[in-house]
Amino acid sequence: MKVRLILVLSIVAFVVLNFAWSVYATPEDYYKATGKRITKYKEAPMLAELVRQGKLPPVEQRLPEEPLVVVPEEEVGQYGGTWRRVWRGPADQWGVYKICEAHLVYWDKEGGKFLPGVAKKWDVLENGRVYVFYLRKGMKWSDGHPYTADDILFWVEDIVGNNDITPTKPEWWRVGGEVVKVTKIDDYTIKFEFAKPYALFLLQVAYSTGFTGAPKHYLKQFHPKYTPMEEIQKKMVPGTHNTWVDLFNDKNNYIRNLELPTIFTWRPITDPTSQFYVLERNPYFWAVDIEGNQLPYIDYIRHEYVTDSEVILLKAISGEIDMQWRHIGGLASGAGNYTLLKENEKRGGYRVLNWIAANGSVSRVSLNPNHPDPVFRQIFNDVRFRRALSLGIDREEISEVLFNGMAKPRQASFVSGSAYYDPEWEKAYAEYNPDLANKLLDEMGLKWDARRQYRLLPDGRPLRFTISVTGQMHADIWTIVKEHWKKIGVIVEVNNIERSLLESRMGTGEYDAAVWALDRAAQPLASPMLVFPGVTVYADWWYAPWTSWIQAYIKGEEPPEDAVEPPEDVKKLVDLWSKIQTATSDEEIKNYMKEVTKIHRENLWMIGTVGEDLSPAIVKNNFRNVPEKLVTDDVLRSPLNAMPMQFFFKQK
Amino acid sequence: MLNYILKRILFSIPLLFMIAVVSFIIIELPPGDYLTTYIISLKQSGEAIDQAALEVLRQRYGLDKPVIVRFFYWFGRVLQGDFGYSFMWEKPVKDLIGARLFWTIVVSILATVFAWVFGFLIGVYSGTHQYSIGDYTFTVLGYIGLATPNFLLALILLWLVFATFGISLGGLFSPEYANAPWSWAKFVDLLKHIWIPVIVIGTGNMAGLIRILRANLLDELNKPYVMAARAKGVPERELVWKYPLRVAVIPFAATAGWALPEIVSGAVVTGIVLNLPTVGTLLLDALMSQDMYLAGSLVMFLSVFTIIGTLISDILLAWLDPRIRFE
Repeated sequence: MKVRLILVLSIVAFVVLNFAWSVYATPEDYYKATGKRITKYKEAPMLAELVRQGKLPPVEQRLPEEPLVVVPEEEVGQYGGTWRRVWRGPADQWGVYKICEAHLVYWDKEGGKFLPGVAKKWDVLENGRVYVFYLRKGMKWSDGHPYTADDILFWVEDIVGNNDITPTKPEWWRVGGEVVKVTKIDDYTIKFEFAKPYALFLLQVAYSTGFTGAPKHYLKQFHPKYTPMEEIQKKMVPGTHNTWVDLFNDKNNYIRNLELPTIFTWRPITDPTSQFYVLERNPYFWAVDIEGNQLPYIDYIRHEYVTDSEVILLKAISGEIDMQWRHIGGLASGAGNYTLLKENEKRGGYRVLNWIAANGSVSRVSLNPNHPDPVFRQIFNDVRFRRALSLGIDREEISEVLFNGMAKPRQASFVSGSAYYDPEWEKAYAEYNPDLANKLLDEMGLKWDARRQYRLLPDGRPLRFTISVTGQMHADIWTIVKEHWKKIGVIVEVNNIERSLLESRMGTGEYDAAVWALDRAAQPLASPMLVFPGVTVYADWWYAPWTSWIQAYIKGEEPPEDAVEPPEDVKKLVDLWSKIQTATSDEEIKNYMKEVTKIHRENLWMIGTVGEDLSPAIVKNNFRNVPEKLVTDDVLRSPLNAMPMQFFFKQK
Repeated sequence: MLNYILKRILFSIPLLFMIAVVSFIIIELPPGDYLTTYIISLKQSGEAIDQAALEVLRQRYGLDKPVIVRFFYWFGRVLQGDFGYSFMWEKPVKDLIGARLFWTIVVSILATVFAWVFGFLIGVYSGTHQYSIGDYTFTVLGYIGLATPNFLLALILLWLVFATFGISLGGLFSPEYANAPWSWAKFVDLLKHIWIPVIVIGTGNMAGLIRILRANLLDELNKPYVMAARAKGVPERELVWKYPLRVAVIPFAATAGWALPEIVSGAVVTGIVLNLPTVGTLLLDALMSQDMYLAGSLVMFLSVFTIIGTLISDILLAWLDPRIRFE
């Protein structure tokens, strides 16, 4: 109870003291908005020293003519320090990207609007058919080489456009049946032109990495278009590089290739395979704060390689991590760690921030719509059965027992901060009502057995199936639900299996029911795989058996012989997705999304438990400018939406 | 004696091959391959990947070929000193494991020395001072040591150190020394960290050795020849060291050999919990992501240590006990 009180108070505090970081596209914009001028640029002492030694040009020459102006979260910071984090090795590299990444446009903190980034401004023309980005004159790569539209063009034409490096193209590559036309207008202006309006493009630009281009001046020596193949072959290491693509990918790797010029906030300076992986500030980083101090404030980021999650927690509570959300709140037990973190707050000299996960549901179950057993298939495809299952879950209890009461009982649906939030979906069959559930099941003709312990299938067998889960958190949740469902006569076994086994059973259709999260529920359009069936390369359990039919349907081909045709509502979702892709306005998209949420809330393919759960971050007391409140989501590249470039160590 | 050693070495070659086969099969057992795991991790992180790119990777890594072909391809290269390529780290295996193997060996050897030296001393003390307070104390500690799994002992020690000093003692070095060149200060820093894994890994084995030596010594001490020697007035200390101890130490040496595999695997498990720069963390990651050449090579190396350890203990035994040499 006490913990919850603190939570409520902190939310109140947040509302009162909303300083939140924001950005201005250029110093000129900052002047226009505030009347203050940035007259002089300043730099970190470690860089000033290099300038004094003549190893680096002065800060005015390193910054673009018009740098991005960042308004700090709390105050203008101080330079210096090493940010201590943990990571779990190369499989965890996205965590490094998500504190350093550059984007042409950034998300704001909530993912509600776009902010200038590498592009100081952009125009959306012809109802979203043409996009023009204006880059910053004088901006440079981390080796001092000028950054221009050529670098973006190089990425588009010679990396994404090259069939050896990128055999299958991303979604934006071909819209309306034609390949995107990218033209350089001048060194600092680049234009993306689609065959049809493509309103989702800016989402991709803010979400996907890559649109900022690749360092042509460095990478062209490994690309056969610019360098004769014999010379490239000389650089290949036998056994490691079998083709030139291997060499190229090896060189174009931010994490491993320490030579690769970058425009990210920090750049790696040690081998990622050693125990400590260190990043250093990019001396040419292209943003300043409101007093003209070049960002970032922090000199170094040091990642310690840790595999064991208990060790990560121990390091956190003993105060040996300066700031971390990934593996504390994100990708970890989240709210389940809250009490332990809070108890040791004082001693470890850190504070726990109550960030929120954009989880529509931390754990939800989906039934196999094409169950090999015809009796089960019929029942699983009866919407009354799914509604009854949902009504039979006591979500309050799950929240209390497993999340210290800090997760919201709700249907698996978009989170309340989302532009497409549908309160009716959130509430759909989400109350605990075993009586109604029993009524629905009775209606379906599923009779109780003689001793009224469980229900029977129409053919007399007991109604009993297996829920496949992966991971302890999911197993815990569904073991609780298993008890709830006994009251409605549905007997389930919870089978906690290895992740890849679960995934491979999806491919073969050998599952009764499977459990996954509904994450990415704040901005579902940037990563639509959970909501729209069959439109990405990934599948989900609720529609997996229909995928081959849907894919043929999208391409307009004859579906294969063995493909299973989905119900009308699923086809409607697929149609809505193609309409959304070529929609011309936000309003139009919102209207389509209303239809989408309506279809979902009626069909309930994803039966949710609790969501919008607390996803704590820990921050040392002297580590400042970290937002008290943040919506965390993969689509928002969290914690990038907390703007790590303006984090700093407060020195006395 | 030389003959015996040669024979033992020759025996270990087919053994190694069998170990390689078995470890490869075990690594192949879970469904899917490295790429399945890779796709899932991409999916969780929301990164896009396409089927054609996966096909390219699959061919590049040779995952489209049957297990047998991959095994002999790998084993053939191992014989030439090339351990293949790690998919996960995108690096040749031999570049990855050098330093980590070194630390695994260092920790294992220190743990072995710890277990043997203290096991021997305490065993002798317990045997000669049966039912004394010291004996009871060591017996209780020994049972606790035997009964507690390594990783739990590691977690308990970490927690105790954290609860009393407020620091977490994982790793082998403090961060400021980790990437620094060797110096006296770095060595001292190492000593500050290395005692935890050594105690954690060594304790279980030490406890076992104490019990064995104590039991054997007690058996010998009550034999008539000891009484006769005592009756003749041989000083007690000389008597114990010269006769019964020499007999009692034979089973001790034999058990010490069996203890080695336990110590090596203990070093792996403890390495994960204590976050040591040993092969433990690497092996766990490699197994979980089915990075098979890395995992295979690591299992192979660990087996080689075990075989070498057993060999040493066999030789020791042959030296101590002439009956074995002449069998």
